[in-house]
Amino acid sequence: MDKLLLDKLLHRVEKPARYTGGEWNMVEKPDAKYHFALCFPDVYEIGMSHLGSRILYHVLNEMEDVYCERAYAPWPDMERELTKAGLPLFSLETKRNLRDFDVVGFSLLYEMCYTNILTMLKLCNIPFYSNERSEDEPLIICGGPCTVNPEPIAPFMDAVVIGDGEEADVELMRAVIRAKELGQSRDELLWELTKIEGVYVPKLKNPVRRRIVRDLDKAPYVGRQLVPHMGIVHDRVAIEVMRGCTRGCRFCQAGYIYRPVRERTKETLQKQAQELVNCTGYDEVSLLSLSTGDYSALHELLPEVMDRMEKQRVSVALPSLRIDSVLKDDLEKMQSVRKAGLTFAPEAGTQRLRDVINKNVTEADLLRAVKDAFEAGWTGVKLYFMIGLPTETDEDVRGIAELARKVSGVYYSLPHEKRSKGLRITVSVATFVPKPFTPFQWSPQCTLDEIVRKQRVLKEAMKGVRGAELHCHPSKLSELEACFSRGDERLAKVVISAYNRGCRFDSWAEHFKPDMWAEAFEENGLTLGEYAHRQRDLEEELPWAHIDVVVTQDYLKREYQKALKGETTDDCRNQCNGCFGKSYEDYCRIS
Amino acid sequence: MKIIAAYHKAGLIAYASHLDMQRTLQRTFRRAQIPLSYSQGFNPHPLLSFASALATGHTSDCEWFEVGLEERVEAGDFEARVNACAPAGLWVSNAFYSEAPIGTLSRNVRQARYFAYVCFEGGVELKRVGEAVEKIMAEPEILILKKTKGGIKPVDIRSKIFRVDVEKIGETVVRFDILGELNAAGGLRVEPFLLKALDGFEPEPLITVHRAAMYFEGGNSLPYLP
Repeated sequence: MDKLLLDKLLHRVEKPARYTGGEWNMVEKPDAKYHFALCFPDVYEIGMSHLGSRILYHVLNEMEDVYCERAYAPWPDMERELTKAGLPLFSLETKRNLRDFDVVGFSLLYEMCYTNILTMLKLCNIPFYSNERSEDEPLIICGGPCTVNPEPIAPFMDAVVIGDGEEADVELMRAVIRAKELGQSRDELLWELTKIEGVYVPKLKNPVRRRIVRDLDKAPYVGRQLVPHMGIVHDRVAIEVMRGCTRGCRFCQAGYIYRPVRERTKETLQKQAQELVNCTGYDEVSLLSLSTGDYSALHELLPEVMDRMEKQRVSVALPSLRIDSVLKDDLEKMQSVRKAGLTFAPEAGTQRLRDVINKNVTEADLLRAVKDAFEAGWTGVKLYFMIGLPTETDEDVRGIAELARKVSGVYYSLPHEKRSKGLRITVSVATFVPKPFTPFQWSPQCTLDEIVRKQRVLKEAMKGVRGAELHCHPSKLSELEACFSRGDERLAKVVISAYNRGCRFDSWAEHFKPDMWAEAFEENGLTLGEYAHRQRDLEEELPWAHIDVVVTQDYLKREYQKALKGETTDDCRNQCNGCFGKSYEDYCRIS
Repeated sequence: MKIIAAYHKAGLIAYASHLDMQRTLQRTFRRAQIPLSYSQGFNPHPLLSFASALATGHTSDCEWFEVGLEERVEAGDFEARVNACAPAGLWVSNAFYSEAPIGTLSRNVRQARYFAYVCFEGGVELKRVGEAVEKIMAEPEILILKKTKGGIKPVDIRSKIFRVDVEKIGETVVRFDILGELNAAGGLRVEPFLLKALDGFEPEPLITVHRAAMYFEGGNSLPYLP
């Protein structure tokens, strides 16, 4: 794009640095023959924070002849300016129209970004439906956790990568290159793509099994991480200590679709942390995973990393510790560099309900952990809960307030000299969204009225809890999320209707238009209720049943039935629960 | 000890905000393994301060800053190491250690010179632009709307403008050479001034601003008032 045109655009939008590129460690490959546009259907600050995209940017650019560039969803002001000027959405690296790329790939991290996919395609004049696109238009693909149920967006996609992308995307790109060299047609290419493990081609409805990187320790990582100029959400070095989680919390999709657990060795992690700090200049390293407290060598890794990083004035953050991990020593160490907030997620207010959701954390665990934290000088703790969980009663809802009251009590029972001033307990309550490939995939979501009523019950019960603040999330968005996470192909039309009604950035409160979504459902003869609030039969054919995520439906059924009986399932580090069925021998060798 | 230098901003990095630049410079210093000194206290941060904040979208050749070091790095070495680790469009120059104490940069800065490149789509006559400038500079006051805590208020900026020259440098582009006030309280904002001066030109011209020099009270190895 012409520099003058670009200047004109950038003068007219807020936060123009979202569109300029030019960050430290940006890859330049002017001679590359094949072009991949790595797209994120949300704004730059969010997309740049996504670890998976960082990995893919690196592995694709490591391929000879391939240049992977980035594009993010334009904020509505930029969309308006582009439309007004008749200009296409362009890549950050070379400012090129996405239409001129060989492959355009979207990372789908949450369902409420789907309208932004359409914005990005539309600005580049690329037809939405796969079957309306011609041979010379780019191959449109997607990946990321949402693709375990690709149905609501399947009609837009030529191919869908399910599972780990770092190997599958490279193989896909190789197939694209081969097709170009041999002059294969799009249909021939699609056929070739079905041969790649983890790639689903909606047009061919091929059987597909989720792709799993076997040896995470040897898998490629982010290379030289990009360092943005503007602040982004996760603005730090992130080290992925492990992938997967062995806990089996029944509401948590990530707990099932990233199995089995695979760890990196502490030597690899040390090396990556140092290399990344050196090549980025960041002063913070985060040890990332679904449950970092479960990393088997944590108590060796942590002191070593902290010791080394502290000398370089780099702080270390542990974003996902469980309450039952041995915390005290680690807390004291973390405090020596910088004190971040502490977050605990009991998820439910009573032990009965925590057993139903298999969140095997007890009240005693939580109270011990907050006592440690208060004694170590913390005064701000966040407590995360959900309401609307299967089998929940008002007693469970009031249990959330009871727990908050006990946490507050722990603080005030400490002698004055042992606690810092200014207690702040933030009780954050989200609405439960049932997800595919979890034991609750058959469960109805609570209706909006019921959620609002429960929120009122909780508000009432929270009165008089000293130092606590209650945040309830609006539930209309959760209802829509419930529709799309367990949606079918018919929802593709709804996404288009909503897009046509101006829906954009739906996960952003200031842009969310629930009325337009309601109209979009109605226009297509569908209701939110049939997707969100319907109890599914255990024998019913689910829209995502044709995707094999390796965890079996039989296992999920067993877990569902145990949940209803309030029976817990042990951590699979302690015993194999047989979640992979017959595939166990091939895929999981934890014990 | 503190080293003083100027950073330059060219090309698309101009669209990074002042806060972004602060972060970007700190990370650049860390990559270059410059031995930064840090503030004491709860949340230590590098001792980096600027003569002035540059508006988002402006380029510059004169963003003076000072940064505290734990040990001396020779000025030339400092520049070379930083520039090897700086993102495209950002570099530093004119590094030095001050012999005499020179006080805070932001307190001593007085004026700045700007080149504003104004693009008139479809061409323009220099004479007409010159007349517009003469006319506005002959006014006793130039009122610009400014956002303040108490709402939007008109502010007179006439006293902040010391000199304006115009020169045509292409079919559609006129370069304004402007000397204006710059101090701790703020200073001349070039874009609103030009939009006011060029009110009536259709379509609204595109203005890109470059800060060419900063001038300081007393000098002391820094550029001093002309």
